[in-house]
Amino acid sequence: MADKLNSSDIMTELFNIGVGQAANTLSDIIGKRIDLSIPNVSILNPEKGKHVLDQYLAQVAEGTVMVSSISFDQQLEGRVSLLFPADKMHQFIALCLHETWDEEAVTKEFTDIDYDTIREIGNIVINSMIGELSNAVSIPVKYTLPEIDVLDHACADHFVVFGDSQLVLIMYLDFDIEGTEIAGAIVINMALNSLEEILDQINKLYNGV
Amino acid sequence: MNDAHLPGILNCINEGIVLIKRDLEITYWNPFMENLHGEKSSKVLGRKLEDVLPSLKQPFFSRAMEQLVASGNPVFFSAAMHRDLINGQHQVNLKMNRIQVGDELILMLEFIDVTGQFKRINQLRCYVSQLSHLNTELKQKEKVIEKLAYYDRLTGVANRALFEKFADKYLSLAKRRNTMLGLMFVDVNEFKMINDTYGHNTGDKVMTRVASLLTESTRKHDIVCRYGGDEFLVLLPDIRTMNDYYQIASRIEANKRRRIIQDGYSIAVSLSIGISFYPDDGLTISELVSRADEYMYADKQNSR
Repeated sequence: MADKLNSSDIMTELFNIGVGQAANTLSDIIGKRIDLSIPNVSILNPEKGKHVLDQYLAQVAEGTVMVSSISFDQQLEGRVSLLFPADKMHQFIALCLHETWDEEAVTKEFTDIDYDTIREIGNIVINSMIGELSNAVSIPVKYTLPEIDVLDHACADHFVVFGDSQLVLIMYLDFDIEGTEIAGAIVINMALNSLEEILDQINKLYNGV
Repeated sequence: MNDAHLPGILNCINEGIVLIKRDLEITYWNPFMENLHGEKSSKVLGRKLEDVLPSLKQPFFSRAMEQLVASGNPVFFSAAMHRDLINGQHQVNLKMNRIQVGDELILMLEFIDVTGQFKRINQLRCYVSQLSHLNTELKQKEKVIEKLAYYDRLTGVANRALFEKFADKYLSLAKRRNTMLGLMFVDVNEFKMINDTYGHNTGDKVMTRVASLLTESTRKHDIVCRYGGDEFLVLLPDIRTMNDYYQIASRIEANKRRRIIQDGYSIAVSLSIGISFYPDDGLTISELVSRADEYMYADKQNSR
């Protein structure tokens, strides 16, 4: 298996290429300058992953998050969840839709329009990230459209399947729409053999092993 | 069932369904799509998708279709972010899927009409906005009502109702915390003469100035109340040592006799002041008011 530190650097690089493409697509669609970046990727065992994720969830909006998630299968198996603090999402959606945002005048609930907006953004971001990874390591991935959910008191158990054969990739996503920053997180819960396959492939491609 | 049934099934679906080949030539256009778009199937079959739906000419749609052909993973475009996908009359979400039919790849485009959702949500937003404005107005009116109910209209300081509310609260606190509660009785000397000499209008302004002087001389949580025509009460909670009281008293003493300029007149204003303390001078508010009134009267007699 590839050296983890090295491999996680390469994966950070690959995911950043993916979110960079997503940022370009979103900028074209929304007509605003959008920057997306992933500072680093942590590859953790489920126990450590649960601890780190629970810490993050406790910090954001008292654990209420809006989640866009997809399951993927074929050669690689797992689930990707894109998490945003729910209390920031009305402003975020208003920015994407060029609508005025009035904190006093909005309900706390999300409408079907909000859900569809996040479904499209989730589709673009996850598509670009997983697509880039899949292309880079030449391993095909099949997935469906994102499911959207708002979770109160979300905890790591919602996103992480515990088992000896599972690993968790956690990365923070900085979303910047013309100066308004919203920090989200991406959690990839993956079968160990899937990750090993990716890392082996990375090793072959980048380290010539 | 075989593939021959497929068009029949798609004809019954309440979504606009369009099938295109890899080169984007339209091969199927269902009746619901005819309703959404306005063009009959016979007019669009064999034409390029972008010619019939010009909004799909934008680069990100082309890239999405290329990726769909390559990977087979579905793509979603929301009506909210793409307002005129078909025309201005219908808001539609667009889902794109790749279907393998024998050796041929077909792209299926589903146009899901969400115009009704948009109308309902806009209605809801309108109601929420109206309620929010109504709520703001009510809060403002509540403030006005509170002001009228608890504050003296002439001087803006507390009235008797607010005084009573705070007096009971501060007395309970003093009992619980074992601290002193000071109650100051202030009378504006010869106020009738000021009214008679300079007129009621100027007299009212002098009274307002006295209220301001008292407010400026006291602490944030002290309550200055206009008790009667020319009488004020000042509640001084949380007095722990006599030094606490002397600090406030010295500021008020400095204003006890002074001349003020009002409406071009130089008017001599003097105050008679009496102060009582819980628990030494009384255990109830009415006892403290009576005792402070007595001390104030004595002060008035001495100053003559």
